[in-house]
Amino acid sequence: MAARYLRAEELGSNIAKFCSPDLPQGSGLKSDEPDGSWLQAKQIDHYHRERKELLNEERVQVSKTLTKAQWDPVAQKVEVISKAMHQFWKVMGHVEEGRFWLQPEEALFLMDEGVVEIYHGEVPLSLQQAYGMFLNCSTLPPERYQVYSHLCRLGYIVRRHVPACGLRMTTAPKVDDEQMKEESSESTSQIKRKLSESDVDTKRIKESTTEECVVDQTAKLSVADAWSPVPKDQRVCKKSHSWNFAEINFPDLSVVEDKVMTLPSLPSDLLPSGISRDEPTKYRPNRYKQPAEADASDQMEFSCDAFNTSPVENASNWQEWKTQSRHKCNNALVDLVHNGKTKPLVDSVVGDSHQVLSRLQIFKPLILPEKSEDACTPSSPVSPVFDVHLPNANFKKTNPGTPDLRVCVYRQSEMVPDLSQIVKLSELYEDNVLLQWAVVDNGDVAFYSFNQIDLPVDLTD
Amino acid sequence: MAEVKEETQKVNPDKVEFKLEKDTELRFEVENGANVVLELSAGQAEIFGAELTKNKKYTFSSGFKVAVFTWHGCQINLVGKTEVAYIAKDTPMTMYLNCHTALEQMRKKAEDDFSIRGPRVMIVGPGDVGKSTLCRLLCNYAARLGRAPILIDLDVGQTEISIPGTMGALSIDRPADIEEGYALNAPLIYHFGHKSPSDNLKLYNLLITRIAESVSLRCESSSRANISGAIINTCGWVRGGGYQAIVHAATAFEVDVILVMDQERLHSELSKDMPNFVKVVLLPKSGGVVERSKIVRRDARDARIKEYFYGIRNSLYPHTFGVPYSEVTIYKIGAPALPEAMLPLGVSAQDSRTKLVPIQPSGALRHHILSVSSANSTEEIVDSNVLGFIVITEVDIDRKIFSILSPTPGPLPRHILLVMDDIQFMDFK
Repeated sequence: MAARYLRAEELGSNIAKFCSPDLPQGSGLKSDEPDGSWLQAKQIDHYHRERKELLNEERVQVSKTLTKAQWDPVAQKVEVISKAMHQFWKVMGHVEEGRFWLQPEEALFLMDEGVVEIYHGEVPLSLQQAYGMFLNCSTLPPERYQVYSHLCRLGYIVRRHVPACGLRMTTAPKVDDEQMKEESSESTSQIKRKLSESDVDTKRIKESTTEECVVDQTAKLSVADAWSPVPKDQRVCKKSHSWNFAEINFPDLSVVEDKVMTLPSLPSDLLPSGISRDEPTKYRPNRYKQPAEADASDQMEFSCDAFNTSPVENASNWQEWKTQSRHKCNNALVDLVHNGKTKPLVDSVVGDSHQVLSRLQIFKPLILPEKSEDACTPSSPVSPVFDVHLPNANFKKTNPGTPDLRVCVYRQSEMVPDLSQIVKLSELYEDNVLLQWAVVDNGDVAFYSFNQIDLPVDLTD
Repeated sequence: MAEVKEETQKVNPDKVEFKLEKDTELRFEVENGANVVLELSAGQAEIFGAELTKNKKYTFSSGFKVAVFTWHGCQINLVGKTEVAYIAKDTPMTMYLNCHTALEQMRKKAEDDFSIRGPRVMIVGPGDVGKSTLCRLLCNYAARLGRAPILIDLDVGQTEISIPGTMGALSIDRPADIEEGYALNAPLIYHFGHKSPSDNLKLYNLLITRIAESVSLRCESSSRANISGAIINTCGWVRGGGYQAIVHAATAFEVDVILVMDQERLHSELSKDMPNFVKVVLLPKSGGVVERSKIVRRDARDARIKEYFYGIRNSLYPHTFGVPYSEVTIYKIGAPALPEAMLPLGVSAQDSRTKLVPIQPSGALRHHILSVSSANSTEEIVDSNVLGFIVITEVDIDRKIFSILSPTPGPLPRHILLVMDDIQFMDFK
């Protein structure tokens, strides 16, 4: 790899640098937010320079300890040609058809560690070339490698997940990738079929509702017909009208302060025959003041305006009034609550408790599919990627045993898997191996897991 | 009271003559078990807005309370035993007449302009203030001018257009008969089943909405009815739920004017709660109204039912026939309300008050009044009007046959019957 020779002291410092176990610390989320300050610019600059220096570092290895390997672009794997002794061989690589193979992530990691030198054709690959070739969205997405290398650096033994291991199915068939793909396509087609069925269902529901509507209308009409079989007169006005009561004079006792009320003379065309009122008449109302009733509700005054439901002010007929008061009724108390800084979680929901509860439910109630055959196949889109074993001197590649962890890899930008997928996945395995969800966020790996907890239950005797 | 009572010779079985001056009223009550014959011998007079014919003899049976008003003076002869008979000078009749002219002005406007609907007036007030009388007055005056207003009676206890326990609407096209009341041609009646709205307020409000829909359909189909408007009588329950029902009715019928009888409190409440474009008017009650005790009200209800089957002067002859259990289905509207805590989550207990409860045939149905619903299927029952009423006079449990009293000969026009909860009728002659 290195075409030039190093002096002894250069070699020493190089090895010392390279062998320092710590990688430069990655930056957290927060420091990525630019605030435009001089200090931050300086820090970022320093960070970049450090990275650059590190990447430019020449890696020096004793050529005797280097393992030679050949990249096979067809198999997307790396074949080991000459194997030098190393502790990694205990836990990495696998034998297939008498040849020793490395998975791309293993090869990359070992290359990064300075254990393997990989050739593509006759030419040894540089690290950059190797990253470019091996990382591939379909077989090895970058975040998967990040999780892999992260766990490996921490000392865990990480193997590609073997789907058959620990499955609930008693006779676990050896499932290879092609079969898996077939099954997955099958299951998706099943899902599609189910979807189309559900479409039909909704159509049926729609039909039935329209039918009901029709029935309702006819019922109403029959009631009306019973009373008014007269053909409809188109000239009739349905709308209520805003009368000018300044012109139309109703005698109103409530506005009369005097003891005697003068009633005007009445035009004879408004009166039935035989009645006439040509001159104003006086009416002496025998009013008596009703004793003030001691009604508690009359005397109570609420400081809160919302309780004083004043009538709708600016309506000119009943239609307007009805719509406005309906609106007001819906909003009277709600508005008050919404005026403050803190707003209620459930806003302006006027309905039964069921509606409110369903609004409050962030997690919708889950209807799990029945445990049919496809529940047993590991073909769901979510499946573990790696089996992780604790560091163990007696680890055998041929018989790894039950893993200590299973890891699913997610990118931060990906959608969170829904509950049914999670439950399905956890039901897939009968051993109590913890399922970890590795979420990669800009190079930082975080692990999450779901725990079973018991909700408090009312004691009943 | 400011009335100047001119007590006349009491308990005179012979003819008594009354001379009424202009704008005065002769009030009298017919003694129990007696009949009073009234005759107008000179001038013009009216009873609750219906004109008296000169020299015609009107007979009033026991319990009748009559007020004869004259606008121009008249002479009246009474024959028979009256409990009290006096002439009152101070009556609010002029006030009522002014109300009528105001309504008539509105009708005239509606007649001239098709974009205006006729006046809808609602009469509210506590019990025994003369609401029904004022309704009758306004209806009669309107009818005398050739109008055809719709009278809507929401007073389930003392309804004037059907038997108690129902509510409905009636199109008025001629003044009510002085002795027999409104001419009941095809009233629209709904079954309520109780004598007070408080027994099932939910159903009460539902039926108000239903009647309002029918009335607006009626107005749409007939311009005469639309111009004449509607006169709505309410029950005397004006507090709490009763007040809410009044507000609901005002909204459902989209009333233009509310006439409040004799209660300032109700007047101020309604002025506050009603929109600005609704005129709320306070009117005095007449000095002639008499408070009716519970017993009197009950007797009036019984008389009303008896009148339905037998006519006012036993002029009708109802039919009695047997109906097998299997031919009818009997329901009651309104199940007892369930507390919400007892129901599954999300199920609302709201509609239990309008739910149908099937009633098994039993001896307990004896003397109960049942409405014959016009509904053909169970779903329509609550929304359907009533065709007529029957009384179960006898229940033969062994032969599984009801004996029923019916205004028409059998068979029954429909098979769905609705039982009245607390209104019974003993068919004793």
